[in-house]
Amino acid sequence: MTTSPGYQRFDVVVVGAGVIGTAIAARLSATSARVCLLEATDDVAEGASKGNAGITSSYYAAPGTLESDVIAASYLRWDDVCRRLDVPFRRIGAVMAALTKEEADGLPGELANAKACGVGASIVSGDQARRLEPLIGPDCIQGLVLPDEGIIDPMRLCVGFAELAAHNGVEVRFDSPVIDIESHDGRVAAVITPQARIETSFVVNAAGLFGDLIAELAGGSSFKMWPRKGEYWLIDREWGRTLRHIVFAAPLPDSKGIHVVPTTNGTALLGPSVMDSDQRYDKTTDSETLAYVTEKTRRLVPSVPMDRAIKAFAAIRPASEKKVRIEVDEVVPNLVHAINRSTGVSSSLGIADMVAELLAGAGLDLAPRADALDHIPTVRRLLLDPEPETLAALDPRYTQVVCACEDVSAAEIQAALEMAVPARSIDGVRKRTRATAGRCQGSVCMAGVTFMCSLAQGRAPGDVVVTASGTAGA
Amino acid sequence: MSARSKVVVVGAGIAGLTVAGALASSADVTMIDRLPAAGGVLGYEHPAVRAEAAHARAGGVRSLLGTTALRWVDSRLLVAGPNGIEWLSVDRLVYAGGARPAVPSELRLLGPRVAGVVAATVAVHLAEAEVSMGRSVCLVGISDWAERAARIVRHQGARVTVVSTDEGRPPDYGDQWWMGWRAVAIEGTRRVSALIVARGDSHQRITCDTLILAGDSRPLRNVDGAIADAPGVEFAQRTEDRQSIEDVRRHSLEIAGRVRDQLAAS
Repeated sequence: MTTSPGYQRFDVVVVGAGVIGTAIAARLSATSARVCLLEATDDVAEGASKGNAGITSSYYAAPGTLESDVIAASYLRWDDVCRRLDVPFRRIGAVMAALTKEEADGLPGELANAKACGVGASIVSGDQARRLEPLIGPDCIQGLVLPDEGIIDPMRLCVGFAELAAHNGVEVRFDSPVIDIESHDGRVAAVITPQARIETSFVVNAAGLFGDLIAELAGGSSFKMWPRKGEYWLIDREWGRTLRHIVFAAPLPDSKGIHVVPTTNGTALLGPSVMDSDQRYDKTTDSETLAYVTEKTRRLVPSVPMDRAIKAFAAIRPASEKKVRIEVDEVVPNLVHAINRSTGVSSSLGIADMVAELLAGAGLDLAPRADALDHIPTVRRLLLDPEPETLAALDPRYTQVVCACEDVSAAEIQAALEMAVPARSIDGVRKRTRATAGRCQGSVCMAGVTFMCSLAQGRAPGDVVVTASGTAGA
Repeated sequence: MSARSKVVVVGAGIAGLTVAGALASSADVTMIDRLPAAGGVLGYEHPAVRAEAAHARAGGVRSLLGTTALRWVDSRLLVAGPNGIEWLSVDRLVYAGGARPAVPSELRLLGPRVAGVVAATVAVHLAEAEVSMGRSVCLVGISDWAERAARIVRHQGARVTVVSTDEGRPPDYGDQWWMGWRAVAIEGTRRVSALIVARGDSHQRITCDTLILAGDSRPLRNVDGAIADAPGVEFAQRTEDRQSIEDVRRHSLEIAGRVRDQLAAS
């Protein structure tokens, strides 16, 4: 219903294309609501949603909290959702390893909490823990087994949510930071981006770390978000795939600790550290913190081969006084906040449902749409396909392996460049396919990926965006 | 007469060609390479490459070019190329995939992930496609790649600063040198804006708009199941930053000899 360039009207504007914003967009896309998803950067999953351990928690927070409720409303649904949204997922289970008496003393409390959340859990001896996960070290004296924990590709989850939303008619706009919000009679009336003035009946604030700034622009209640930096190591698949379970450190009063987490592509993540700061864009790594992550990891899994580290990186997750904020704003009745500190992936399905209820309660008509899709096309992957030898007949471009470390073919990269929410940068290709993300970090394939982006996007190779708006050429 | 043993050599550079040629008389040898031409980093026109290629061909070595080896499982090799995606039955795999520059984590190079930080292999490839690699380029490491990258970006008009832990004489392809200094951190928001270098306790900041990683070579390995030592696999890879063709050939012949002995014993 565009009446003129730069002027549009929607029922809901969702601000932020992280895992929560995309999950909400996907959820609302199955209804009669007209939805616009706005993202300040050039892709989905540019904040905490790309920098996390890729765990779908079953138990994380104390029973009776909002956080545990939204996780409980999500964790059993991943097998089905990931199949429909072409997202790598495996429910491999976790072992929380206690190495000291103090840590072991904490496990019965964790067990009781997990059970109160309705989650399967049991306490096992150190030997039983090692039988379950042979890479757990000899110092483990007791373990808490959480069989319903899963691993997921969090970036592909955001891509899947956004893709489903787009297929169902949600308008997804990138490079669209919210620079102002107009109000009328105490209600949000329009959202302003550099390109457009967008009239809307409701705004959903899923801006994560920047959620406080959106609330302020909307004249809503005042709260503060700040960045919590975590540093990680990524270890090669050759070792990572020998790890069969997530290994959690036993939580201490002040921290959840450093974990050892297999990823859906076979690598292993070590981390994260925790450091609060006031720098929302600071993603530098430092040697002291990385050494700390290594040391804490070795307590749990002594054999982790640091000479097989592919990459060290820092990621920012949003922190706030309120761990999870899913509510209609106290001041502005058509502004709904949907912000979570660090369990965004694990709670995204539950949060999306809850936001839909809040919107309906606030007067939005959300009639289910019979013609809405509930899945997106699946792209077969050379690395993980059970019958790779059949792929060439499907598309000859499967025989052109562009990224040899991660076995990513030209067929997969082309699919990433042509989807409804396509890769718009080399990072976008990396998120959707893992090309350039392997042990050589693009030393072999980055030029080839650049040329494929160049062709698909009709721009010179030097103008292809690599990451965070920086280009291949200078 | 029993069937001859099957050997696959992955990599048709000077190392792979040498191994394949040396084994041709004692095994059924197939040589595969990702690129559609033999020669690797030296290129097909190099006299040493042409000589080894002729020797391999005369010995009956079969070539599958434009083909990528993907994974090695129980004496089977999954490959993808013009013949499709297929499993080859193989008695011995010789991996001769060459080398690559070390990545930031291997160099313990800290900082954010930003544009403009590229492996020399990528920088050369992009620059050959006339992508401008920047006006002030920092080049970390002294290597064959560093030399190629430096020459091409200087041709584009860039000023090149070479950083190397090597205390020796500076190379002739830089405009400025930090010999005996170690690259420790990257700075920048969208694109790299500076490299921090250290020597002992002192640190210096070198501004740059491109950072090319060209040193501390590692073996390039990307066949799953043959990343580290594995049954049935030999590696014909040397990883010095600068290496002579003679050294590579000598080492390759040693590997070929070892494989020949293994095949004779089995």
